[in-house]
Amino acid sequence: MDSPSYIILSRLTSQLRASQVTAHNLANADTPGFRAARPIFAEHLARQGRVEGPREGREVAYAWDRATWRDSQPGAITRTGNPLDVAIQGDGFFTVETPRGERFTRAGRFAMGANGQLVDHHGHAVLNANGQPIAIAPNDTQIEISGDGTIRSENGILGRIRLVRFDNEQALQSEGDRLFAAAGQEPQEVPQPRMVQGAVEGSNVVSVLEMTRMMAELREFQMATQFLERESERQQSAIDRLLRRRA
Amino acid sequence: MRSLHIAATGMLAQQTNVEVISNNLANMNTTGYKRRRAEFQDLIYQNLRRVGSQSSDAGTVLPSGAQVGLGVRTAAIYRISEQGNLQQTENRFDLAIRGNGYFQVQLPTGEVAYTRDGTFSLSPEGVIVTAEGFVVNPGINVPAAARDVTINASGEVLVSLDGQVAPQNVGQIQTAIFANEGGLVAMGDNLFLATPASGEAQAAAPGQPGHGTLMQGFIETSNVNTVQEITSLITAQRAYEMNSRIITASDEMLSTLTRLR
Repeated sequence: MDSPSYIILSRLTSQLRASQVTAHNLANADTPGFRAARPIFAEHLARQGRVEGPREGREVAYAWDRATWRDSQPGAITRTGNPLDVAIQGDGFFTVETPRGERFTRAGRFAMGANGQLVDHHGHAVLNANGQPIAIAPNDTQIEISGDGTIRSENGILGRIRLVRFDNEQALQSEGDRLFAAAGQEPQEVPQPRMVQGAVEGSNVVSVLEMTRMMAELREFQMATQFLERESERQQSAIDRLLRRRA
Repeated sequence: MRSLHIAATGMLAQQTNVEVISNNLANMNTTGYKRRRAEFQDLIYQNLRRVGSQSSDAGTVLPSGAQVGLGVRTAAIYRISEQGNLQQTENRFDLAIRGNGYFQVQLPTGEVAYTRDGTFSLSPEGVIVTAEGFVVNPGINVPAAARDVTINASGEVLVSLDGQVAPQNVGQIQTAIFANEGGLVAMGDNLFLATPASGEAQAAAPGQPGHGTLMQGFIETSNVNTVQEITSLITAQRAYEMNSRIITASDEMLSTLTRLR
């Protein structure tokens, strides 16, 4: 069996996917609340049962593209001047009500919907601490959102924006549109939420790092293909030699 | 090669970004113009391995899955309704709104449009009209004999006539506010139309709760901040270049593959 070629093939496939993840990160360098993804590669051991000898000789390690994880570094907070924009400092996600159920997001660019509810840019209602939409009346003109998410107007308190956290943030499912699904986890209220009004959290992608990563991935890919080429040359020369001896 | 397509979405997004920024810069001196910002969102993800799927016969569960995102798209182009600077013009029919609200303009089609551009003047018939000659609601007639016209903060048009001591009130300019200002649709010429997303216009005299006040002899300039726009332009250009580098890198990977013997 021709193990070296297959092993390097597993490496090439993984490398290809790594470049896709990097491309996706860079494409979303300007997406508010976006979290960069990183692939994890692991050794995959295939046992070769019948081969006798030292332990190292019995095992073949394939590169196994195991998972992606999300970089949970916060993105830079930029001021926008829109009084309904809210950026989260530290832990937590906003909860929005979508037709598919509750979804979680870090993108706090909110607006007032036509029905007077606080909504995200898709029109999904942003939920308050009791899991209800937050209503803003037409005569509430001076909207103030304090650090803990309490929304006030000149007519009094309108509600408090709910911030939730998860035991395993990595297990959240990215759905696109900057939304995450809980994937079976129970959201828990953040005990001490911190929010900033009139600002939005940007993407946590550092373009220069992604660029460097892409270059490194390209070189590693080329190295692996070179290895594959050498391997094929080695086999070719072995075949040539064997044929010559026979002739 | 998915990364080629992913990087292409990135380039498209940055192109939109540059387009929006250039429109802002082009309208830097447009009266009442509100700057816009492109906003992006990530595209759907493909699950190569779902979170929580079993990783072995022993029933262990994958703590995190393998997902590949498919790029980015433009979610929306927002209008930022921050107040623009007020500029003195000394023209007695120029009006600026301090705070919330829009002037109501009667279009020849019968529709009502809304604007922050208060460059008004008198029509040949003596009615207050916009720069295009559309009547400002509710058509206020200023008598030709008027010596002086004062429009106060709450929109009352007061004219002084010869032989009268007290100024005469000839009309009341109203401003309109909306539940969701962002839902207004721009129709060019500084005019906006109401949509189901913006909600119905609520007209009232300036200075009423939720409505801003008027300033005579001033116009509101655009709220474009040149320095900020140029900075965003440079950032957008760099991001565009980096996405194009990803395309080059992916292409190089492909060509390495095709050279393989």
